[in-house]
Amino acid sequence: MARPSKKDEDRRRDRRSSSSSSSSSSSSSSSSSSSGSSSSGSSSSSSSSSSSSGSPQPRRRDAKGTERKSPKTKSPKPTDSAPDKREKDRERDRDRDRERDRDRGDREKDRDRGRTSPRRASKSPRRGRSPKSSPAPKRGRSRSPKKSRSRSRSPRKDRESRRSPPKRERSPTPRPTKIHVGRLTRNVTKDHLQEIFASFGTIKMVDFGQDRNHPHLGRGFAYIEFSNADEAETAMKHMDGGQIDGQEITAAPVLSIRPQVSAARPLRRSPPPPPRRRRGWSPRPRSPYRRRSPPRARRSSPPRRRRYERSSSSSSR
Amino acid sequence: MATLESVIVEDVNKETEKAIDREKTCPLLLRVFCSTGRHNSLQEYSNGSVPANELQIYTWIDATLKEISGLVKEVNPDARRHGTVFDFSLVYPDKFRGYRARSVGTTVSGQKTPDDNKTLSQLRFTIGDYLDIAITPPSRVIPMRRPGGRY
Repeated sequence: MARPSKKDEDRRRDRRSSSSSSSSSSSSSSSSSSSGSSSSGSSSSSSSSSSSSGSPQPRRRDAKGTERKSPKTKSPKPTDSAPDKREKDRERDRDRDRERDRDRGDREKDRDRGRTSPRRASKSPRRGRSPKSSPAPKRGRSRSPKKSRSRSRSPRKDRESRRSPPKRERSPTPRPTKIHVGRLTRNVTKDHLQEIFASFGTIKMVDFGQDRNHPHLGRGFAYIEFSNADEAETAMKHMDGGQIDGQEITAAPVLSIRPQVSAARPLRRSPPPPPRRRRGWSPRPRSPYRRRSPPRARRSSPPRRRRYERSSSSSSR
Repeated sequence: MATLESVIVEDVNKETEKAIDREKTCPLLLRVFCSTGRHNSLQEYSNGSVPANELQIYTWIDATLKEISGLVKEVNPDARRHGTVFDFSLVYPDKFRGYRARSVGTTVSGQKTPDDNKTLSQLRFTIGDYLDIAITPPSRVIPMRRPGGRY
């Protein structure tokens, strides 16, 4: 029963460390050649991961061992660069993940590790049970006891290594350089915003929401993009709750970074359908009318029924 | 310049609704358009254009019509004559492409009227609305008022 759960975990991990897993698979394909590079990578990795990878077993395993190293080595670097604030939020998520992982047990974690070496290793034992033809399963069985030893040592390292990988993946997300400014009055123009917010830094772009029917008027909000996150932050600090034209405005970070924007698009797409309908009105005005006609016919029918009822009622009377 | 002030004033208190501390609250821009004897036509406000005779006033949301008419008088000497009537109306964009006007009150220079102490906030003025004032000199008003018998 544990194995299916492993599969699930494998998938999850693969999603988390898609980059690492893909790279690992590539490295595995060129296992012999990549071994040297991976070893160098392991040396560069954090002490915890390097020590875990440095355990004797992976070295013995050559290609597979190197594969395991590679994801670990990649992960620590980004973690260092990750900003503190985000780390906190991520840590919450990670904590949840950790809890789940802990519940499942360390053994499974170790097996999970094996996946990077791979899915091949994980699959091979399953396949290997019956078929003797494949050499891999034999190795897997022979190695499995060694794995158990490694499990006893590794779990702590695993946790650490796991904490780091999500950081690595999410770290590239930059701090927001774009802020949303709301509650602007109609007197405020794009130039005004440019003038005001230029005092906090260099402005890359001002996206000024303009009213459809009154293109010269604002819609009361704007997006302002700064050249870096610090400027955006200072602008928010100073202007959120500040006053422009006698009205308190709001200044909030725009969290949608490009990948998230793409994710948010479906939400935006859902509203557009109405416009499609509107557009549809002009070319298809006739069909709706045709559709409307049948209900009239239906309306005509009930009165007939009423007549019958009346007749029946009259007859009863 | 008002924008710079707003930057400075940012830490202001929030008691803007009732008692406004004009030392601490950022003033708003009130765009006033005066015309003599009549209101500007709404067509003059369309498509982002505005009537020619614009008067820009920096004031607060608790300003009264009397106060505003006083500011207009500073600029417009003819309006200082006793009996000059200021008829105020707010002009604001509607949901469509046009503008709407809403008459909000009348003041007379040299006299007290019930509308004197109406404040912009009481008139449901939203910042960005235009204020259109028809200034009617007393010579024209008097014939209008004679039937009332007050003169």
